[in-house]
Amino acid sequence: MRRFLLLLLVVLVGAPAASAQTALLRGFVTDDSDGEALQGVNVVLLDGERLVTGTATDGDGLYALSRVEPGTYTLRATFIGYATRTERITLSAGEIRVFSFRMQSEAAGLDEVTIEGEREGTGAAAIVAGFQAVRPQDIEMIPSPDVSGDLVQYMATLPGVVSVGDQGGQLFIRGGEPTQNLALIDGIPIYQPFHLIGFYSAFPSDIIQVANIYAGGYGARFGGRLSSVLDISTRNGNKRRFEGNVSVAPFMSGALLEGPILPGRVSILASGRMSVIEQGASRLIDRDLPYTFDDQFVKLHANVSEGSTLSIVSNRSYDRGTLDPESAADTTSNRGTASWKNRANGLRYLMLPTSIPIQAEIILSYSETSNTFGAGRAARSSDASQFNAGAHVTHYLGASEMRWGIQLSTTSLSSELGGQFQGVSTSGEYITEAGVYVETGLPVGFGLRIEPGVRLASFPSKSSTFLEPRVRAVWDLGAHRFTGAAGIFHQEVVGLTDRRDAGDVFTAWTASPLAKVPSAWHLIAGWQVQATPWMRFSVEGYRKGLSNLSIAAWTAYPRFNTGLQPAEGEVTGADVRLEMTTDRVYGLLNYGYGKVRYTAQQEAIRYWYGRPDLEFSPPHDRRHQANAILGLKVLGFDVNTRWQFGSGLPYSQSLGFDEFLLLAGPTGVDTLRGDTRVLYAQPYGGRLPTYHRLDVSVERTMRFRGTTRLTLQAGVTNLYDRRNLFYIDIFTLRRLDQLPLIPSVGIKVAY
Amino acid sequence: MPYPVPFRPNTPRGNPLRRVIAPLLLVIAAVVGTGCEEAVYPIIETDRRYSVYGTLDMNSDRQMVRVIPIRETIFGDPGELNVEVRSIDLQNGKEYAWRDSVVTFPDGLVGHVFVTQKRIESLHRYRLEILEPDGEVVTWAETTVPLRPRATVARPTVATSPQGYVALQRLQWADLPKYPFEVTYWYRFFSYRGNRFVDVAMPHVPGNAKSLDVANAWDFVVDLVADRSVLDEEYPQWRGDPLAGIGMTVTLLDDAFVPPGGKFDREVLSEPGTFNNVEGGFGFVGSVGRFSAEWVLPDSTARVLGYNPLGGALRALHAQTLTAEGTELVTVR
Repeated sequence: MRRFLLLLLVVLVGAPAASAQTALLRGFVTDDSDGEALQGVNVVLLDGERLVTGTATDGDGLYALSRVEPGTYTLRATFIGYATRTERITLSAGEIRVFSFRMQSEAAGLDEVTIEGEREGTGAAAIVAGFQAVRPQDIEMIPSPDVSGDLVQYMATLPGVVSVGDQGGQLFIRGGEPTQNLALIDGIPIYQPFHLIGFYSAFPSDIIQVANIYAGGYGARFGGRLSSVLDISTRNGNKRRFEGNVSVAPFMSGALLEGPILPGRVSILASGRMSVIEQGASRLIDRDLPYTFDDQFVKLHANVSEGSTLSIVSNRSYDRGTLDPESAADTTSNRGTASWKNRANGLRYLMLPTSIPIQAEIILSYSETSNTFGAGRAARSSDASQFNAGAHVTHYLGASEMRWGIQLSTTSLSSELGGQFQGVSTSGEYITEAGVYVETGLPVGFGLRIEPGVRLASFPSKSSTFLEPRVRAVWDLGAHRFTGAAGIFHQEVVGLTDRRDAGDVFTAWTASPLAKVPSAWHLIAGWQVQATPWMRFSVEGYRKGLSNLSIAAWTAYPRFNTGLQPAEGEVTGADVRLEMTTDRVYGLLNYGYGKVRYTAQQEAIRYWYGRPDLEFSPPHDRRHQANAILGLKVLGFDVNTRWQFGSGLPYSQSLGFDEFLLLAGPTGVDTLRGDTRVLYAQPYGGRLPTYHRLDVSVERTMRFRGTTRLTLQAGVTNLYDRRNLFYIDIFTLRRLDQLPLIPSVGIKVAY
Repeated sequence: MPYPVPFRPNTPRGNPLRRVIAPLLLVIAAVVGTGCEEAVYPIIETDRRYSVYGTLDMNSDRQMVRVIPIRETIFGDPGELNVEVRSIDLQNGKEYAWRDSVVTFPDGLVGHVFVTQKRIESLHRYRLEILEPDGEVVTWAETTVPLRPRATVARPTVATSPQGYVALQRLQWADLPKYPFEVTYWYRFFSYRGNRFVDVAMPHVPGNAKSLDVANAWDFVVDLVADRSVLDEEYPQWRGDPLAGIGMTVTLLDDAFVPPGGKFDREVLSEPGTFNNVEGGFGFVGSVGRFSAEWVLPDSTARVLGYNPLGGALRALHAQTLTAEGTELVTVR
């Protein structure tokens, strides 16, 4: 660590000296038509025809060309679907120049033309050591009972991402629990990023600019979670003119409005959606679907100056629903109505100081969640709110760059657990976390780029501080690309769930009940190849080790009362993806193998199962999954199909039920009622049936006068009406299936 | 965004996927064809049929056990239980029939308590069997009734000290392999007001219980002076009534009546099979014996301690009372 800090000091001190003899050119690249940041624009400096240096813009449309020798150059910016932009630029020694510019669509003036060029890091098979960028166009390829598609629908098609059902709103990413996934929307943590019904995220896909998914091995910038990161960047809103859309579909309807508040400077993007499932889909299939949910999103974005931007974001979502209405009426059940509220508010200030060659980003945010589940004596609730402050700084070092930052967060937690998770503090807790990180990208040569980093994560309430080394590497070798990542991660604020009962979607947010902070290590290695111009193939393997987890104790007392037991986890898996892209056809085949094993220690299980450590596959251990996606453009229609397959998930079988009488000495058994007990067999020793489903949608967009567009969509979810099991209630032997065949028709008017 | 690295395929014109689509559709159709529903049944078949709980009691003429059928759902409504319960004294082969006695608990749960009018004997081994209508024994358990221990009481030692008297008396239980499950002791007075004997349970167990060097024996040392202080402070109403005797009861459980870890911890013991001696089911059937001994303080010691000794006529009545109770009158030696 001491060597690392020394190196950091040398770099920080040395960088300005080095740059004093050279120049730095940087700025934002935006779309001329709406002022939106353009990601993936190739920006190069040419001396005549000689390439001097070059880069690609990031998610903010930001480019930076550093350590440029003084002189006069041609700046050339190219991007698929946009007219090439060239400028003459003269740079002097030590100059730090901010040059932001706009790019025009090649079909400028024909606003209806949609640009669908291949952008950087995107494509389902273009996975880079667990990282994958998802664009709105990718999302639209997935059939959905909604005109706009949804991010969660896309994520559910990724190998290694397991959804236990189309209700519950939880995704397990490469073996990690939903509460081990860090979800960020413009850098603001969001506790519950998906709605209770599994077709929808807590925000519409219309607002997404790009969703960066790190299924593991993420860089040192991210901390506080064990498994994965979903980092969503939202659009800024049109700074030239007002636009909007209104959509109606059987599950959810919504509206979006965006436009300039100060033309060219300040924009607003606002969206609101609400469920119509009880009035729509429920009647279509004649089945009770007691779900109510809505979400609202507002973003203000301002170009404060040529070299700085400010965005203010607010996202709110609400869910209320009953997974199993029959069970909710059963007073012996701990199931019932689940509801949760989410709020994520924050601001992000991005600046390019004119006097020093850095980029600085400041994020302040406040996130909160409140969830309740059940009723009566089994009612439970949990509240969490978190204030975050973070500063991130990027230094430009020629072909490489170095980033460092500091993050502070304080989280307030309180719960009413109704007997669940005994031993967990339910009174108000305040947990503070601090993180300092530094990471860099080093072009080693021969196409190899290594991104080492380290994070110092401090958890004062546990009196623990950890050094978390991280590294990512990409090696381009012709058409082949080899990737790898590794790292160590810690998470103190954890979400406790009772996975013994698939119908229990309650999450209690709390500080880790164990004295030790939960930790994980990741190891990822992958290979991809551009086999033909239209086909890409990738393979990626991964391993994760999880320590100091707290899981529901294995107890014979059903439902209401449970303690916690410590557990260790191990995840092993591999993904294979084959992606084919042409102008009119898109195809994706993927397969994922995953194996998740937990080892739990609990005194009592020694007597029942004959060993002190109990090894089992948790209920999200889906060994095999496959997806086939086919998109066709036929006669002006977009036809999208998706077929999903998943092998059966583990569940616990039992020998039955009885009453347990505590004979603590001579006891009169005629007056002792006893406690009802479930005679569990080996935990998660059974497997549910396989899951598969075919979804199809057909969509056509028609254009009218001006900029008005009408999109009609028709689709069928679960086309062959497969009775996919959601869960079986082992207490009552009742079977709850996932959604049946659901036809849908949607309409969207954009103007 | 730190990680995207350029990797941009050139997208050609044309449709070279035609060759791929048809096989893909065929694969999907083939798998769809296998889309028949798969049944799932979460109850594993087992030969464990009933849970049985009960403690055979040496001190009772009536024995009882609770028989709970292992059912498939959580709802506990066994209704009629069509089984027979019998016990066999394995010492002599005698069989005893048990009859079903249905009890309904406050929450409506029905319980089947099987009872038999029979005393059990020390050191006898009993086998309890559950038989289904076809006569097959599906569930059974065995228990050996604890051995009756023998009590001996030594003469009290009385000495004087600057603080006053020191008076100790030693009670030894022989044939007692482990510390009893429960120990109680009392002072018995004759109440002239009620014209009857009254026991005053002492709030504490005599200290210094220890295992003797000889096997299977436990010593209890009674601090007679300390007890006198307790009686004066907490039970002053007995002051002046004659002291009939001092007694102790030890409750013994059978050798198998030992919870894992030594504690009757509900969370641990509720795990199926944890505290279990029932074959073909779950639960525990044990046996218990309570053994009592009482002795009379020598008159001289009683007077030194401030008690009135029992008169001659009452002594005979005292002996009769103990016999009727089954309490052994131990001679102080």
